[in-house]
Amino acid sequence: MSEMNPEQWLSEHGDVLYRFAMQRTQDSELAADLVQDTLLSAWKSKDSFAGNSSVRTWLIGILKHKWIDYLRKEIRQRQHAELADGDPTAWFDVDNGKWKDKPLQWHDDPAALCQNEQFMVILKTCTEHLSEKQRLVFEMREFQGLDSDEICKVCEVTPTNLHVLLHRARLGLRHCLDKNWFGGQGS
Amino acid sequence: MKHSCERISQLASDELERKLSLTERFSMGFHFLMCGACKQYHQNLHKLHQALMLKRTQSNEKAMLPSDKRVLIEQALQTLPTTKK
Repeated sequence: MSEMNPEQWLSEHGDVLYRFAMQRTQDSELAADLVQDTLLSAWKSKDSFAGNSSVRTWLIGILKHKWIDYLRKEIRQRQHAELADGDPTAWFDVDNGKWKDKPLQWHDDPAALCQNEQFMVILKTCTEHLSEKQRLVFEMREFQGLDSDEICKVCEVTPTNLHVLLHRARLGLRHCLDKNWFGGQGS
Repeated sequence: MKHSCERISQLASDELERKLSLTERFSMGFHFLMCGACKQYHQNLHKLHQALMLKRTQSNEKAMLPSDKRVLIEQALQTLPTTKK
């Protein structure tokens, strides 16, 4: 039973749980809060630990639930601030269905982009110009790495809805990045 | 059949979310032969997707629970009624 000790969980699994939370939240305060909540509720529900998985797997499972709960709460709070979806027709010519302004070539390779802090700042700023809903799903998908199914569950939207939101978010970001990042450099 | 760039750009985004049908993949590939702009957009989306995937894994690979946070959590755990001293 020595395994069922929250302080021991913290010393043995604290870093792993924190890393898992950081990957999703990118926010160290929030990540530490989630770890704490996880350990507290793990202790409360310790009888539910079946012992057929490792303690670590069990704790990570609880952390995942905590994270989803957090997102749900966030969404509920934001719902009143929800704006109309961006208009995709803005990017295409109504007559011939072609791009109004053509996407530029993005020269940088992904490995360089992800290390470029300036680029990340521009990208963040661009996401802030999307509609609330588009920004939320894009961040969950691309910054936090949730998959489509998880996002549908959290946001209570259908896959088709989600795909349209992501599509519109990406159109908006493409335009913003062309203007503020890729258009300004290299060429 | 002619496909508008709007429809193709939706498919380019969907490809990151679900498995496209054979017809969808074909119409996208066929459209790319005639439309450099959509081909470019498709490449850019993949590039951004990959960059952010790398970012997620790299930036947190070595993250450690900060010691000040660890102490706070320890204190919170000690308030649990049934934890042994």
